[in-house]
Amino acid sequence: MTEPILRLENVRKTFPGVIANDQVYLDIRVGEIHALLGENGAGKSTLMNCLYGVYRPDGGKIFWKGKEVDIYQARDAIALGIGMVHQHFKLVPPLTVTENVVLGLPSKREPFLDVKTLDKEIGEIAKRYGFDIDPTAQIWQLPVGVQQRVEILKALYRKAELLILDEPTAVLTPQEVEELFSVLKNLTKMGLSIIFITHKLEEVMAVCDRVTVLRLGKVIDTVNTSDTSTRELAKMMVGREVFMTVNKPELVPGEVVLKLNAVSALDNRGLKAVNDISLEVRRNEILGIAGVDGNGQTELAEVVTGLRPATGGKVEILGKEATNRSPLEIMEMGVAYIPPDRQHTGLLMDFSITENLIGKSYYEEPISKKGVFQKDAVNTFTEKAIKDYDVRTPGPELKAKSLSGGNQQKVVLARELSSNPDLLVAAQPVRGLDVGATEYVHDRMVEARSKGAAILLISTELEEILSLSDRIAVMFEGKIMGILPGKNADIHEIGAMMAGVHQTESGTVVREAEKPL
Amino acid sequence: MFEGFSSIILNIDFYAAIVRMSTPLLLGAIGSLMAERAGIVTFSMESMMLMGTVGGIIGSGLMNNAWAGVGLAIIFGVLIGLIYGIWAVSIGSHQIVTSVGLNLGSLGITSILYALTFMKGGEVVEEIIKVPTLPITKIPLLGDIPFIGPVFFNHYPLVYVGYLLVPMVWYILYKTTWGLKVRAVGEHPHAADTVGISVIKVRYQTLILSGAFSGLAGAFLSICMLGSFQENMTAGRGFIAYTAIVFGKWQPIGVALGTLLFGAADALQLRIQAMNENIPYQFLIMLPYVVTMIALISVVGRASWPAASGLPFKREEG
Amino acid sequence: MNKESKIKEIWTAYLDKSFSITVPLAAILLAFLVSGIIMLIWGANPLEAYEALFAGAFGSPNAFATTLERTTPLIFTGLAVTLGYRCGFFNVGAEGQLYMGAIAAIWVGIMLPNLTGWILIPLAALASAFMGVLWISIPAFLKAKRGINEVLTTLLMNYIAIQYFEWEIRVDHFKEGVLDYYGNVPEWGFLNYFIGLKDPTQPYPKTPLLTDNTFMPSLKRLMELPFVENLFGNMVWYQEFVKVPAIGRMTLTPVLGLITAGLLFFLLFRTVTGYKARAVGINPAAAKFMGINVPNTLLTTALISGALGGLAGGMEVLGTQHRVIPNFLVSAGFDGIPVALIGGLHPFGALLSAVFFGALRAGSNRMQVVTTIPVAVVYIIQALAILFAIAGTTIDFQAILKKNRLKRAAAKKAALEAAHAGEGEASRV
Repeated sequence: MTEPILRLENVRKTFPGVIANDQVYLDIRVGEIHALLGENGAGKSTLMNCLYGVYRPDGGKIFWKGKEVDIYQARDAIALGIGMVHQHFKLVPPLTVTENVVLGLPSKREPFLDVKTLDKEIGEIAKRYGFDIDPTAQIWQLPVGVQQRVEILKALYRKAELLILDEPTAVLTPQEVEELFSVLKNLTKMGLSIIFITHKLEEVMAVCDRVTVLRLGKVIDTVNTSDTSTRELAKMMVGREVFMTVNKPELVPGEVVLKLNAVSALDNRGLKAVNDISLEVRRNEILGIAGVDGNGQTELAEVVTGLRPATGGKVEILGKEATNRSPLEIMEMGVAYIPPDRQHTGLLMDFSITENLIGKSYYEEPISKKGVFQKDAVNTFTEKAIKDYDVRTPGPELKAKSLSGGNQQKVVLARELSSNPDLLVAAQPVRGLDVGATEYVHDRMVEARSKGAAILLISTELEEILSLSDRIAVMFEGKIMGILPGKNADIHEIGAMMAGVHQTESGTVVREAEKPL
Repeated sequence: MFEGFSSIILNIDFYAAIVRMSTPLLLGAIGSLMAERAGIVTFSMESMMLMGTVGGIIGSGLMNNAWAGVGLAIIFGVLIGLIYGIWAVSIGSHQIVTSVGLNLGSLGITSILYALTFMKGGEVVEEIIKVPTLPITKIPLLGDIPFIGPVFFNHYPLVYVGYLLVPMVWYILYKTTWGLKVRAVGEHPHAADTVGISVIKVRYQTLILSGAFSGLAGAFLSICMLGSFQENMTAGRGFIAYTAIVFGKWQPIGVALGTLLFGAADALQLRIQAMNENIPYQFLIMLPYVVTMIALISVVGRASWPAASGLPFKREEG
Repeated sequence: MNKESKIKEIWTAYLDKSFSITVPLAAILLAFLVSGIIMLIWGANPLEAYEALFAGAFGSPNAFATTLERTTPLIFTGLAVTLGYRCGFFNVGAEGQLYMGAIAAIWVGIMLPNLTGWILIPLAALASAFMGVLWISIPAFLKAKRGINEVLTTLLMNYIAIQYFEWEIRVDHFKEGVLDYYGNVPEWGFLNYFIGLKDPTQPYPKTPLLTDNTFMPSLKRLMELPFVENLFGNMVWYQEFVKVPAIGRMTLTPVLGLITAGLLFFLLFRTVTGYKARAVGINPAAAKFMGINVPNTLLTTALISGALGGLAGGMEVLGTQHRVIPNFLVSAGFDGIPVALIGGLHPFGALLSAVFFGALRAGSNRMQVVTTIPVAVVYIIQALAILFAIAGTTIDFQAILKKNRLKRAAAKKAALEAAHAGEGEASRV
């Protein structure tokens, strides 16, 4: 066997309080497509950033063509022959293809840039690799799939021998994915090696030669795709962790609180993110939406809460029409929302804890009267909320950013739950929290359920979904793949549905067995 | 009234005046265009120009040579450019606020430097100091062409620098590797960073150029047009030059046309005032601002802003 | 929670709170220090200079009156910038709003000269606020509904305002029976009657002096009120006090500035409107999540900011100058920006920093007389204060401290591990 082009030995990277990668062994053979598979947060991106010089590993060795190397910055990686295609393209929109490709490189007639000659050269290289790209086109005019090929071209022009693709299909349409696969296969025939970072199982099987599975920062195994199956990979990826136990009383679901009928919506890029979704959530019930990040879950939550317009279908809350109402109107219909991003949308970090706590009741009596805050009412409210939700802080006048993540989320919970909402939409409610805080948030949600709230829980953490949900809906590419009972759900079935491999025959119809008690 | 007006616009001097009045704006705006394209708001042009005016006077006065003034004006402008860089690029503070501070500061520094230089035996000189000025230089042959000659080729030397600057900056921006870096840094600094371009370095380089040419613009005001110094003698020309950049949608030709428009309004205004008739020339001065405002409101005006304009660059770190 | 971490949290809380006061104070101190070096280069004694500066600003009733006069417009423009900035609307147009506000106050004073002061003064002030609103409405609307950068639009509106002002004070104002400078009898014209504000008897652009029923009540007037005189008339201090000419220049306007700052504080921190404005200023996306209508909030706040800018001009006219000439108030609008920023974007902070700016301007003349240091040095002091303050607020000192602490902790841990490893080796020997 020839020397691998790249070999990682015992690579370790830690951030304060987090071990992102540990004991990572990896070898990439010349001319192979090697998948790096793992859930979000499994440490794939950190590992690649170590390789590309964005981070410095804390321990371990990197061998390039058998020689140990140190990579301090992107420039070093480029010089070795490592090219990276980021998930969010690093292309300058108003510049042409040629300008983007040659950016930062000295020209042959330095300091002059002979655009015409370069256009010709880039055009020829593109043709050699089978890319249909007009070198004089500006990036913003090109479809996403072509932009990606410009990124690949950029790496190839810099004489890359190893190409790292970070979630390359995340932004592509199915046709574009097909095209990308044939491009990649073609490239390996020319001797290139490729690392393909993904969490999508079927892509691994479709295009990769070997696959390394990462879980919680560690390598689980490296196998040939020909020797494995999606089911087996799903098992390795998700693992068999001990599920957190949540004390959840048996309750009979009540009236329908949220009803979605064939709802559709677009994402920020104008692509269809929510595709014809119908579901119901009842009182005393938690409906968990499982799925890999970026399959339309966030968009769904935003449609329900009025933050994103629905392009089709109907949203009803407690029997009342709620499609495309303003966020304020929907709030007043009894809907609470825990947004997925605490830092940017969940809290106002520069507001005090008090000001954040009244974030949903600021305009109502007794908090304010005729537009003026009532200090006593605000203080009473704040003190009660801090006590009820156990927010650990020296004082309520401190800024929210001074709190720990767990306490920040408690503030969000206090704000959203203190009005006893009829519907709670919780998107990634425990993202980035430690075990104690996670438990606390979950207990609170179960409590809200007992009080009669209907809860729509969106999470990419399968464990969380499994331990909390009464029913589980799996979302894939904007569609519901199926709805399963929460009790004794088969994790592998869910894992497969999350990867879009398996779809229940009846689509969104709930099977007999899982009908609520 | 109409006769007076036609007597103005039929006069060749008027057109020469437009060129002359536009020059300081042109030098500043085109010289700062590269910094703008690299994502820096050059609100600080006013202070760079102001420093240029006093640099011109001091250099010319001390060395008794106007060209020494030009040199010192450039040095002073560059100094402000570097200070602006420390705040806007290295520290990453709010660029407009920093510029407001610098403008105020150079208002003070220029007066003090001027007074310090021309102090006589510990006493501040009250009368206006006259220093050597750059001579009006007629370009051979070209200067003799009827109409074209007197309008374009019979000027102070710095006017010709302005002529050359427009195509040069265009060429640098679009036909050199450095210009490509500048444009990339202003539109998508993180993309530039990933291909090994030092965003910080490029921004400092453009600020040095911005300072140098804005300093030159200041020198034009002091040692071409007047030969003496007054407090705050730029009188907001830096802001006007900045407006011209927006007016020209960050394109060299457009910016040059913008400065011409402002220069023409100024030249016309002065002549109407001299006629001493009751014509509301103020609306004339207002015109370029109104036009810029409309240009901004129109959809086309929005698309041309460099995407990273005014944003400090920070690498994402773990 | 253990005691140590509790103490740490309280300390963090203290730092968090004191940060906003410490930075501008340190910046001002540093500015005085650095400017002192410039004075030394000049060959003057900085201490002597600062003493003269202080005396020139506060040393006598006259000096104090001048400081108040300089301070008042800065309070209003500073508050205008403060409010706008809090909502994410950077109002660079206070200069233009000030000019338009001044025109409006003059216009009301000229058109309705016979009204009693009780009605006329509030009316003129309202008119100036209204003009300020009008002047900011275009940039405000463009920002709120179309997302167009307000810095440039408000800046452009300044120049348009100043040129409009320059024109309006050059158009003769028609007044029955008043001959113009050349002795001609002017004809009534719409333009001359409703728009023009120039005093026709003057050759220079200059508005007529307003009648004294538009004059803001002064301390002198207050003292001369019959009942005050009856009360204190016999006392010696009273007789001395009313003789001080400066009390005629101490008007109600700075007090109104003080009240406005208080009202703005109330608006920003005690009302729902202010709460929404601040939420939008901090993070529009999160504000939207809280059910706040972001464009409407922006629009409302910007319009109030414009009103404050207009009031700056109105107050100058009613309280101090009573007429306007070209450049009647140089750069008080632009100076609102540094006033607001050194004031930590807080209404009371703006009040204090307006006094700081006003005092520097007022005291600089005396400093020049005593030490020959040019008045211009106060610009340097102000500029340095701005630059240091903005650097101080941008540099995240706490983050740097934290980073260093983490680094030290990591190094310590590594050293410990190494030591342990060493021990292991040693024990084996």
